[in-house]
Amino acid sequence: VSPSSVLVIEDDADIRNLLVTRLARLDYRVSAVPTGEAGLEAARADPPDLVLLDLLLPGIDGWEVARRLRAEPCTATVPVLVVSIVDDDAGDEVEVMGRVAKPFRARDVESMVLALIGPALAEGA
Amino acid sequence: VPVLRAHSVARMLQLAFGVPIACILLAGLAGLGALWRVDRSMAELADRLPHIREHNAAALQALLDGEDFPQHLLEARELAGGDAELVAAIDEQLATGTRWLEEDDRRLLDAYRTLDAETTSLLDHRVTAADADVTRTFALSGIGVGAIALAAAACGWITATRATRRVTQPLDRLRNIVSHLGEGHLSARVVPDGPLEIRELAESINDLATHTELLQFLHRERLDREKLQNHVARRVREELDPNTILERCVEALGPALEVDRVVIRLLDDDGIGPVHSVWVAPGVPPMPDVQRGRPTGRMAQAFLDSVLRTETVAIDDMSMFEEVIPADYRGDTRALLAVPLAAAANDVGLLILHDVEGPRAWSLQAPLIEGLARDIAAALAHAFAYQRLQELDREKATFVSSVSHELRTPLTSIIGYVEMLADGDAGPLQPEQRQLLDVVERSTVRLLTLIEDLLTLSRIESGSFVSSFAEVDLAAVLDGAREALEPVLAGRDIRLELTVDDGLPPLWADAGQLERVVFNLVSNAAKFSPDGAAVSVQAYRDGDDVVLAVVDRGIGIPLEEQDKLFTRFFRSSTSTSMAIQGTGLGLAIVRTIVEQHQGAVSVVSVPNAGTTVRVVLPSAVRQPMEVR
Repeated sequence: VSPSSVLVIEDDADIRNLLVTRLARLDYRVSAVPTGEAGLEAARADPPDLVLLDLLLPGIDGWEVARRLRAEPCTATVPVLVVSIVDDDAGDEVEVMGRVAKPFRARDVESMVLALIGPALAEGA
Repeated sequence: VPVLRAHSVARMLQLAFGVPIACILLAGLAGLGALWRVDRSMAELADRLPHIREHNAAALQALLDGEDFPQHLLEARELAGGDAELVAAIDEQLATGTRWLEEDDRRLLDAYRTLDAETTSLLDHRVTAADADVTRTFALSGIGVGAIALAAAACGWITATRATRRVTQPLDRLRNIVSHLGEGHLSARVVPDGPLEIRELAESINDLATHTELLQFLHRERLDREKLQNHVARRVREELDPNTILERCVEALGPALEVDRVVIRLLDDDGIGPVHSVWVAPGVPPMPDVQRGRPTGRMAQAFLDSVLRTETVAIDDMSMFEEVIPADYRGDTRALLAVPLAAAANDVGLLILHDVEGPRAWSLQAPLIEGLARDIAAALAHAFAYQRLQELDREKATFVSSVSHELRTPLTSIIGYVEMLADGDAGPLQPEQRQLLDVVERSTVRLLTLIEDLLTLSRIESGSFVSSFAEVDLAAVLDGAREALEPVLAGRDIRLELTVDDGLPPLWADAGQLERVVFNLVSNAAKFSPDGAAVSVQAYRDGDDVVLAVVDRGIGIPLEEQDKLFTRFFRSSTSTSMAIQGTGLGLAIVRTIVEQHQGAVSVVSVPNAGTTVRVVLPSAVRQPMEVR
C-alpha cells in the first residue's frame, strides 16, 4: 500500500523545502516543482491525492494551473489547497478545497491536509 | 447791473412788462391832458366870456348916455386877449362908436348897434363852442383812456400767453425729461428750446444724461466682466482634471469674449508646445494643421518671450507683420492676442485668441483676459498639484501593498523554520535554545502583525478591504484569538480572562476580521498593562446585539486624547513617553472592521486606572444585512 501523495507547486525554494519536509515527516509521498507548467506535467504523469498550489508563480499563475487541472480528466477530481500570500484577490474563479494564507503555521497546513485527504497511510493503519 | 442778453428770460420779461407799463403811463398822461384842457375851457366859460359880454353891454349904454364908452370896450378887448376875431370885432365897434360921437350921424349908431349885436352873437357862439369843447374833451379822453387800458390789458394777456409758451412749456419739457431720466431711461434727451437760460439748462441736463449713461455703461461693463470672470472661474473650479479644465475654458471664453478661436498651448521642455485645446466659433474655418503644431520662427520666439516675461502679446492687425509672421502660420487670422497662463511664477502655457474678421483693438479687453488667464492658470496649477497628489497616493498604496506582500514571503520561511526547530525537526532542543527560539517567535509574530496592519491599511485606503460575511460563533473566534495571542502575552506573563455567556446568538460577520479585532484590542490592552496583570475579555448578549468588552487595569488614556484614538497613525502621549511600540494602526483597523459590520466601538478610560473598549455587533438574528 503506497502512502497518499501530495504535489507541492511553489516557486520559493525555502518554502517549498519547508512544506516538503513537514509533509514528509507525516509520511506523505511528497513531490515538489517550482512552476505551474512543471506541476501540470507532474500531475498528469502521476495524479496526486492533493495539490498544494501557490498563486504567484513564474509563467502561468496558480488559478490557471487549477483551471487546467480541472480540465484534465485524470486530475479533474484532485483536491487543490491554495497556499499563497495573495488572500484578497477577486476570485475563487476555480473552486478549490481550501486556502491557507502565508505566512502560515506549518501545523495549520498539516491539519488542513489531514482534514482533506486523511493520514498518509490510512489503509495500512 | 444784470446784463440783458438777447433772447434771455430777463430780456423777455423786460419787454413783456415794459409795454403794459408804457401803456399805463400813456393813459395817465392822456387823462392829465384832458383834465387840463377841460379846466381851461371851464375857466374861459366861467371868467372871460361873461365879463366881455358885460363890458360890451356897458359900452353900448355908455355910448347912448354920452359917457366914456371906449373904457368898457378897451377892458373887453383886454379880456378877449388872443381871440383875434373878437378883438377885431371890438376894434370895429370902437371905431364906429368913436366916429358916431364925432359926426353924430344916425347911421353910424345903427352900424354900431349892428356891430354890438354881431359881437354878442360871437360871444354866444364862443360860449357854445367852449361848452362843446368840454363835452368833446370828456368824450375823447374817456375813449382814449379806455382804448389805452384795453391795449394794456391786451399786452398783459399776450405777455402771459407768451411767457407760458416761451418759459413754462420748455421748463415743463425739461421737468418731463428729468423725471424720465430719473426712471432710468438714460437715452432720453431734450431738444434745446425757448429762452437762453432754459436752453443752457437743457444742454446741461443733456450733458449730465450723457455722462450718467457713460457711467452706467462702464458699470454694466464691469458687472459683465465680473460675471464672466465668475462664470469661467466657477466652471474651471468645478473640475480637477487639467484637460477638462482647459476644455471648459476655451468653451466658456470663446462666446463670452466674442472671438473666433480660443487656443491653449502648454509649455513643455522644448518651449511652446502644440495646440492643446481649441474652440472655434460656428461658421469659422477650423485651425489648419500647420498652425496646430509647434509655432516656428519669430512667432515661437514672441510666444516664448510672452510666457517667460509674463507679458501679453497683442496684435491688432496681423497684416502689419507680414514680414515677421509666416503666411502659413498667419492663415486667416487678422488679430491675435496671446496671454500667458502663469500661476505663482510657474509658467503653464499660453491662452491665444483669434479674430478672423479683424483688425481688432485688444487694449480694452486685455486686462479682463489677463485676469481670466490668471484664474485659469491658478485652477490649472491646483489641478496639476491634485493630479500629482493622486499619483503619489496611488504610488504609496501600491508601494505599501507590494512591500507588505514581499515581506510576507521571507516571513513565511522564518516562521516555518522556527517552527521546525521548535518541533525538534533538527534534533532535540536544550532549554536555553528553546528560550532563544521563543524570542525569535515573539518578534516574528510582532513583525507579522505590523505587516498585516500595513497591508490592511493599504486595502482600506484603496477600498479593497471587504468583509466576507457568514454565520460566526464568537466563542470560536475568541479561542482562535487566544491562540494567536499566546506568544504576545506569554513574554509579559499577562493572563487573559475570557468570560463568554452561554447561549450567545451567532454573528453575521467575517470571522478572520473579528479575530483581528480581538487580537488588536487585547494586544493593545496588554501593551498598556504592567507585567503580570490580567486582561479580561467579556462577551455577552444585549438584546439583538452582542457586546464584546476588553477591560484592562493599565495606564489608561488621557481624556483629551480619547476622541483621536481611532484615527490612523494616532499614538497616545503615554505610549510615546513610555516607549511602548506600535504603529497607531490597530484601533483604526478595529474601527473600520466594526463599521463594516454595522457595529459600534467606544472607549471608557481613566488614566492610571484602566481602559474598557466596548464593541457592539449586531447578531445574525438582526442581520443578515447585505454589506458591500
